[in-house]
Amino acid sequence: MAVTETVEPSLPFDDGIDPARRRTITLLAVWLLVGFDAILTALTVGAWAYLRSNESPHLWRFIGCTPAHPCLTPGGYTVPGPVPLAGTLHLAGVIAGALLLGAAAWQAERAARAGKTSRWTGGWVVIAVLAAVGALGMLAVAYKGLLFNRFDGAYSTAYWYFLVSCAVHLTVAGVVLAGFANRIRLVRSGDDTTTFRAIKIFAGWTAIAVTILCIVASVGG
Amino acid sequence: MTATMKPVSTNAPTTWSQRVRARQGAVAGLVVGALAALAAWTVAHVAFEIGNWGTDRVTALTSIAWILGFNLGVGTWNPPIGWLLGWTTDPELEATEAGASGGRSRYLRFCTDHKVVGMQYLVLGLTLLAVGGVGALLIRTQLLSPHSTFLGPTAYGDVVTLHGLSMVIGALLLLIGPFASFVVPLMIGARSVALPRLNAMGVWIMTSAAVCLIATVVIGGADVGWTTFAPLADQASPAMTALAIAMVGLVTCVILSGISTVTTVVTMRAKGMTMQRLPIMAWGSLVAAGLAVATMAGLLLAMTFVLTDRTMGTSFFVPPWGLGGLYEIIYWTMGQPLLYVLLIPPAAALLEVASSFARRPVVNPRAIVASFIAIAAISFVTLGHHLYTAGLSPAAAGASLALTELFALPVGVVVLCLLATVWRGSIWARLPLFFVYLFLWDLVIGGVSGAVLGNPTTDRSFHGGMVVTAHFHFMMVGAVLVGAAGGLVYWFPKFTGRMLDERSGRGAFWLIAFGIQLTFLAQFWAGAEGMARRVAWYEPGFQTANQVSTAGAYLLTLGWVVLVWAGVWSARHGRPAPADPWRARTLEWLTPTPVPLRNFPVPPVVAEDSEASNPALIVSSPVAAVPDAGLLDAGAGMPSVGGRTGEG
Repeated sequence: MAVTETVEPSLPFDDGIDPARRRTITLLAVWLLVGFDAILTALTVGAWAYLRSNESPHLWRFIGCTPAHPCLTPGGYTVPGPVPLAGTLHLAGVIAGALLLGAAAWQAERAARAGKTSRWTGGWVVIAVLAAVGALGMLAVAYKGLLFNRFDGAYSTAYWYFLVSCAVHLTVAGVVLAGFANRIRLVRSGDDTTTFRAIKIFAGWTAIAVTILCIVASVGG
Repeated sequence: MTATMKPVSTNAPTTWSQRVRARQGAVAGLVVGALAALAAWTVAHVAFEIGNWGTDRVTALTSIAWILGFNLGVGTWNPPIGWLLGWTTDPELEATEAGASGGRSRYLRFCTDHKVVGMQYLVLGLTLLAVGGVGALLIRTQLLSPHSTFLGPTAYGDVVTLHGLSMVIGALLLLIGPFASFVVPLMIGARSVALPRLNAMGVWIMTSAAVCLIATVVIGGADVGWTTFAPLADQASPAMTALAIAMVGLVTCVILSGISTVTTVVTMRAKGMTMQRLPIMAWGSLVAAGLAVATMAGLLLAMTFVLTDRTMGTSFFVPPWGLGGLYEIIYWTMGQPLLYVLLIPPAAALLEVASSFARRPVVNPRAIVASFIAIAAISFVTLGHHLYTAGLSPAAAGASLALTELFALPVGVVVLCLLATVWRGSIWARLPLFFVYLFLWDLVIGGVSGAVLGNPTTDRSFHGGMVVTAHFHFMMVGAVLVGAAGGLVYWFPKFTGRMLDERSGRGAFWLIAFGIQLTFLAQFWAGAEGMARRVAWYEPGFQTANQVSTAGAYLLTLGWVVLVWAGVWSARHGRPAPADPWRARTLEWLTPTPVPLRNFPVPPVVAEDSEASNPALIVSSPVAAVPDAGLLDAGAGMPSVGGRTGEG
């Protein structure tokens, strides 16, 4: 696919809209979406911090709470001991995959701006998709180490939610990138450098969000 | 409301894709959605009931299947699926999707014409308001006597939940649709919204979500109140799962329409329509849409936590392991700004109304815009006043008090500017202006009582009582709904091409005006006497106040019914409306009525009247009278008295 500045009729049944305005619309929409997701991610981390600071109650791991010496909540419930955490190495793998995803999307946009061939730009997009798939696989492995039940409290479920949130981010980014790779393969018109830029922003944010969530999830109790 | 363009082509669909897409619409959505829900319910029952996973998972899967299936049948997913799969663009399908074929069938399918979407939102919003209104009547009937068995406590709680959510969401949809989707693009001289597919997706996703919301009364009811507080939300019947999924649908709808509104106002303005010249209504929608996008994250997070608690075995809010306090904080992070998402657009609409009927520009529009932005900013940091009785520390309560009282400044500026606009204006007393006066009256009562409740000391006395209910309803009904009604009445000729019957409208107005005072002042009375809120039964001493409130509620409902009836009747039989019946001369009135598919025959170019004191009001002449590329020339054929001409 030759990367050009021409766009397909961007409004349905459109009578023409200039590329500069289309670019502004696309990028503004993507930034709004990323802004929304950034607030959502911040609130997720905030929820973890709130639970952690309140000890949820007394269910965050602390020294002395072991299976042999279980802690009791004020209501007399027993803490069933240290909750298994997702492996730090596994989460590092997820972070690596997410960062590779962002970097590959970034490279694809750079290549498109430099006027490289569709094979070249499409190759970077495929790498980004593979990175997303790899990170998802690593998440699945990490998830297996995070077995919990309701009696483990909000402590472990917050971590579980982090991993699910990572998975959702990676899946959405992976699907969008796979669709984009498909469009490049089919040489669809309308995918100009603005689309590359929008996808770069989205993939970049995905990498950042996943990294933040994985880092918090590996902090431990 | 109807496009004048003829169908681009009458050729029969030939390809498989064309045949499928030609059949997509509301009916197909109902069929596919019902089948998908039935299939999911069957599979989930077999899979989960055997595994003893409970009915929450069954409800969740059924609700999700319904939403996905319904929107598949309607065609909501066509744009994203088409993009992902690299479908080629079909001009005929594009034209049909854009509403070029005209006709009423556009309103029953996925149509990207922003005016059609606006009307779809209007019908959906009114439907939800009707559901909420019926709920309100049931509640008030239950409260006619102290220990009524009309509903009983459990059903009463279910009805309270459905009433509250239906009313709040219905009001929100009125602001998203007729205002942000229909009117604002016209006001800024746009020939479409910036992201029409995104805009159209929102209304159908919300339609399917609304079905899940209403279905809660059928599948057991959710006795949790409109705030769906945890841990109640974790403990309620499986209907709560359907409700939470409906809320996720609402968030999706608001995000899509919010992004559409912001991008439209920022990027689709006509040439010459600078941000300084932007009408107040467009500013109000811009601020509210930005605020909505920013705040919906809180609702999404709260609802997904509730959903995972109910279906996946997490325990964010399950006592004693989880914390209900977490829910309150997350929820009010969203809930408090949402109230201003609801309040700002009606206030902006009534500023336009006041300007038109007082025959003078809006007073100090820059201060108003600054106030809108200040209200949005402050709303993020005032959730504390909802938590006074939830163990907030004295220092935090003090800070919350200060921040809450700070609201009085920007809200006061808006109220004073609205008053100043009508003050000594050349008043043309038509129905829309009546709503301005009622809005001001109700907003002052609601605002002053809000300032009282923002004080931790008084709040501790009144928090669980009917005073809060009365304050909230003065804001939501007296300000938000009255403001929205004023805007709808004002733009009714643009929506329908006909004039609203003034006589019926005025009758409805007075019923509404007196109904509000009777209903909610009586609730202040009951609350001041010590009556608790959200209770089905009460002490006999509160009966008189409740009887007065119930009488008011019936009066109020009658008023809304008469107003809607007047609207429906006038839309069919009313006097045909001229293009600019109010001589308002803002851009939306300068295009023909009914509005053509592309809004303006030629792209408008806005020029400013050098004598206009208000940069937000553009003096312009009708498009048809302008020979040069639709130039809207300053002051052509009209007195130079700012944006609105004097009534002849």
